[in-house]
Amino acid sequence: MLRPHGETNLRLGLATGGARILRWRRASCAAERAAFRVELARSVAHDVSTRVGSERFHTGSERFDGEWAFGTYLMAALGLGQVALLHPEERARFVPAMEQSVARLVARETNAFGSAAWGNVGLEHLADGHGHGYLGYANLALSMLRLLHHETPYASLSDELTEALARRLAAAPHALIETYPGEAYPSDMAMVAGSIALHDCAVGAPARAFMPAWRAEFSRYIDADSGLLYQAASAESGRTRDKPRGSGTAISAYALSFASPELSRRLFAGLRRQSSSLLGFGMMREYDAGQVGDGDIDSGPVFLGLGVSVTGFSLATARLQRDDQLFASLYRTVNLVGAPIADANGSHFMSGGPLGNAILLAMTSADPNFSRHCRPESS
Amino acid sequence: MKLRTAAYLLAGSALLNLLGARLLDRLGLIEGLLSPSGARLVVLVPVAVVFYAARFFAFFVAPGLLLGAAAATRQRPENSPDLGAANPQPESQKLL
Repeated sequence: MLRPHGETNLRLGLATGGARILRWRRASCAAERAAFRVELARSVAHDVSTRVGSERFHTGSERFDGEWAFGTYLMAALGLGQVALLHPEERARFVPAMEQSVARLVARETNAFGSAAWGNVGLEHLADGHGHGYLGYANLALSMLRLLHHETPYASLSDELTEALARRLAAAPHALIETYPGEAYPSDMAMVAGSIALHDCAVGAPARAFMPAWRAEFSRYIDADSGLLYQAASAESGRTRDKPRGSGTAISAYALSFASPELSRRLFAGLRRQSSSLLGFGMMREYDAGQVGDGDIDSGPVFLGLGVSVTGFSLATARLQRDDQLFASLYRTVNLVGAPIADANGSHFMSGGPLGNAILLAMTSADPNFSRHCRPESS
Repeated sequence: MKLRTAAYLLAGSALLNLLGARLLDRLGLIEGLLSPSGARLVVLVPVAVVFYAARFFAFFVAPGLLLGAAAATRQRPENSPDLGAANPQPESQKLL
């Protein structure tokens, strides 16, 4: 017969054991994850079709509201494209939704936040303009669309924007072009470089001659100690600003997977050291050990050093680097906090909102084998 | 804890988890948290706190309690079933 303490221990043990056994079965089952990904894509496609303008967001800053609407369309286009690559049978359903997302992404009103900062519309001054580094994000979505639908009506815009960004990046003395006047972010440049490389892959163009020099120069923004990427720097002097941060590193590792697998791996190595796990539930630290910092619009909320954005973005790099253990641990956390629910339009994470769901779609569908869809150079 | 109580706790927390997710989705949790309007927060924050408490309880505590209660019931003598009030346990054998 059990003694009182023995039974208490048994109950506590079973409580813990039960929790461990019941740790998100879905998170450990790739087939269920794949099925959920398609349902999430359906839901994101529905969000895009019902419009997600800046009026849906209330960050307290018109620029950030605009950036979030822009980010929603961007991530929706990337995610829908990647799901269409992974599930060719869904192509007919998701490519039109992707095109719709790109249409909203390049619309004047969606880019108003950048136009307000520069005093001109970036997409209308591609030949003679400068700066507008945020357009790398739009170009990545255009390049992904091009990969899936070569004859898209946005093909000429994709070509023109890619050439404009390539010219600006090749001419940048410190591997940076400004996102806004006086502001430059290495992670935005990773997006610019990734978008150019993905475009060239989609159209079968040869590698750009300036890219090796750009990659070498860009490496200076990787902190030698932590392996993380500095969040901000001066385009004029190349001097770093802010600290090395997880969120910028994670999104850059994703974007650079299209342009430089070696740089992407290097960033992931730094990022991997920022992972933290409790009972199989993983999260990522925004700052390297010994550094402290608050959350901001890039990192999202930061609790005890653990960041929301870096955790979400790291899903993609973990997938790309085939780090199944890290991916599963982060996915469990997302599943626990995100609370997935199903409805008539598909499935989505209750606590994601349009932007969170679009990001999670893009990050959980990143394809390490995307290059097999590239057009051969000879064609 | 009795088996029946543990089962009710698991069922109750699972139900709160399911209904809470639907309710918060309908209320727009993220849009509400981002909104400067305090009126929405007055409703959203308590609902979200209850929802996440129920969710964590349903997944991490309640299954263990149920298994623990089931195991304890199996190990009790046959004439002192956990669920039956007809044969109450002697005071000395009552655990927890």
